[in-house]
Amino acid sequence: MNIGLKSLEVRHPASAPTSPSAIDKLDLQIKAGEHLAVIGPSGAGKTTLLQALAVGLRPSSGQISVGNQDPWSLNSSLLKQLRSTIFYAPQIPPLPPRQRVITALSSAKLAELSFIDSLVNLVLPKFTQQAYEALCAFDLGEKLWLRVDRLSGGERQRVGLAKALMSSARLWLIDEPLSALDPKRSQQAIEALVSEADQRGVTLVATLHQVAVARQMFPRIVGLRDGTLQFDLAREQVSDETLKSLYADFEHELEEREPIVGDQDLNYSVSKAVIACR
Amino acid sequence: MRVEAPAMRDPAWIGRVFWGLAVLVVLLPSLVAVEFKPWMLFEPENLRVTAGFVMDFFPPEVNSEFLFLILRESWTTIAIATAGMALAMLFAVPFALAASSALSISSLTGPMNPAGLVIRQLIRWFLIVLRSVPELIWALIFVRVVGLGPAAGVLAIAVTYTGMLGKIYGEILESGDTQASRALLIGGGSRLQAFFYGLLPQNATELSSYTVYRWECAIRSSAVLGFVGAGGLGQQMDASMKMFNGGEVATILIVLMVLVAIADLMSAFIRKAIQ
Amino acid sequence: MPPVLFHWRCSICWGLVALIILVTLSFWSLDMQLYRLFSVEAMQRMGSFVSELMQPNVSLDFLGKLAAAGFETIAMSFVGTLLAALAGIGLAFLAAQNQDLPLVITRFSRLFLNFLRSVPDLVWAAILIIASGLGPLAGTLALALHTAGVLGRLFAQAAENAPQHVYESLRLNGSSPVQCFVYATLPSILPQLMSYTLYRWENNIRAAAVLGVVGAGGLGQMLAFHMSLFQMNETSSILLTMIFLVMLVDLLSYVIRRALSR
Repeated sequence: MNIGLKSLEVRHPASAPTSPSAIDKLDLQIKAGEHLAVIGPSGAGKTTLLQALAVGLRPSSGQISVGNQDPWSLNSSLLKQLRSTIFYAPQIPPLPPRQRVITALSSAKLAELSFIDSLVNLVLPKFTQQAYEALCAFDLGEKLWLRVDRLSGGERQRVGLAKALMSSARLWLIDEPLSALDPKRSQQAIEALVSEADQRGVTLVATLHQVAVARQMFPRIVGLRDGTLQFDLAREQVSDETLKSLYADFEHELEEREPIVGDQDLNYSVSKAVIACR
Repeated sequence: MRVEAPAMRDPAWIGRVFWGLAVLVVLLPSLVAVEFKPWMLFEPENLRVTAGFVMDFFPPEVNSEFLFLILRESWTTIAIATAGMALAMLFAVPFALAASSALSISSLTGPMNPAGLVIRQLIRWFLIVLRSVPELIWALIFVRVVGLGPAAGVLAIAVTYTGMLGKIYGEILESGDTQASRALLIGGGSRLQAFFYGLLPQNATELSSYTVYRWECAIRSSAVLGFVGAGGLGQQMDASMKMFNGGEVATILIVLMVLVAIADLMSAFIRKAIQ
Repeated sequence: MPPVLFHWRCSICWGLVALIILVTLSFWSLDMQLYRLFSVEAMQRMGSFVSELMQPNVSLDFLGKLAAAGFETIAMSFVGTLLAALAGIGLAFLAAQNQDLPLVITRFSRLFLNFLRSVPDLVWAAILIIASGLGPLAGTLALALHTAGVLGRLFAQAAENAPQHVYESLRLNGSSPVQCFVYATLPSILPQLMSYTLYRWENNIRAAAVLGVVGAGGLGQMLAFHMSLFQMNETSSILLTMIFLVMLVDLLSYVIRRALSR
């Protein structure tokens, strides 16, 4: 879906009126089906930007349009419909510790289920096949029936990503999808995510600290610093100098790890993950 | 090509079915024993009686004579609870001290000596018995002994709460920081000294807090004890119900709710102030 | 050595003074004639009570009646608590302030919960007896109503204190408030809810034993009957059965709580 931000200003809900905004005068246009990576040092406002796009934080000034409508002017039932087309994955995966993975995954489909169906689903899981396939894409097939608190941090993060594959959203907003993953798993996870987004034609916006991965996997890179847009470029145009000036004073956050599998053939990577489920 | 997973059936299913059946096995006979036929409430005859009774609630009785009576009974209820609690504290503290291992001299230097263990356990069991018999039953018994009136209520609360306070005071004393009192005991101080200068200051806040909370519960109990003749609002409500005077019952119910709410607020306020 | 006993600035001292006044007033106004407790007559009566209480009636016939009444009592406490827990979950959803429901619903539910719990279960029983006749049904429903108020409030507090992370995420993705309650809030507070419910069962077995005194069946009804006839041998057996049931439920509750927390 198309997204447009014009002169957007967003403040943290608990911030004092005199403190600087988290997002300041941001202009951004995203076309349906685009894949976009947002990078920048800590405190740049990356998470705030995603929350604003997810219609979770009301802008203090400026305009936002999601799917060609102003989300904040919609009545509650239309807004709910709009929300069901947006999938927001926070950095800490929102999984109740005592819940089983199958139930946590099926909660991505709640917006489409009636109340009775959602209750029945707790006792008689309905989306087993789909959940299994979603997990397999991230090499977690055997965790289907386990409780969330039996998984490691990295596994939970990947389950959080697998939730995206369960929903029928047209816009995926993923906050730091790789923060708890080692390099090999990071590569596999981001490849799975991007390839699935590609296959379904959804708009994908992800914030990343792993700049090398961003440059490799995303055709468009947006750099934020102190809440303002520093650059909005195609990946070929992002040079090392651009990155250095973006991360000035924060060089330690600039991860220049080379990707483990320098494989540009995404379909191959995905089927490798599926075979691993056998 | 996607592969079929090895176990697509929910492994929790068997456990759920088992426990579901277990619950049914316990539930169904219980429902029968309890004569669980809630639709009886809606049978025309019952509905008529209920409707008549409920309609009688409006308007609540508000003539000044009755209100004055209720005000006096409310004070009686509070007084019964307070007097009962005071007596209970009087007895509970020595019992708690006797039952608490925090004042055990023998356990300072190794395991508690067996006589100490036995005595403490006996006292604990005694307190448990006091607690396990519901207040209303004690009230029934005391009504037979001292006659109708608030005395029976005070004694009933005193006996039950001695058990409750005794147990909880003992637990609070044991679970608090016993260093100060043990130091005093090791240094040759008496148990009373160890209590007043060691345990009491440490745990005063928690002890008071729990006591205030229980006082609030005592007010609720005392309101109810009146149903068996132990004075206060309960006795008045029983009398009004027997005369099918819905208006009076309504007033008493409202006053009861207000009383409980006030006690609730005061208890919260006092407990905050203590902290 | 001990510090000055009373200082006019110290609020705790004023508090203690108020306390002493309150206690003194209570005793004085009640005119309890406690000396009657120690009169010859009272002592004699106590004496005969105690001796009869020491000889409980254990005839097979009576034991059978005790078992039936005992089962009725424990069933009352069980069904009443169960109904209350189920109702409490629903009411907690309506009354908790962080479930994105209109304020009017939340306020009204809280008031309703307060109403349910302010009325003591004995009073509910007396009212329900008028509505549905004597017997354990009135007692069970009375317990259910009162306990629903208590548990509903505790459950609502638990829901309000639960971490909001998962809940907010599901709401952002378009789920309805009740779905989010079931999929996000409930899983995180379920252990607490079970613990509260089991503690309440311990309380309710005592309450169920007693409700019978006003006619709600079970051991209480038997007790009132035999006491009114001054049959202390039977009374003693009934009291012992009550103590036994209370200890049984305390034990069961403890065991179940241990098993669940593993």
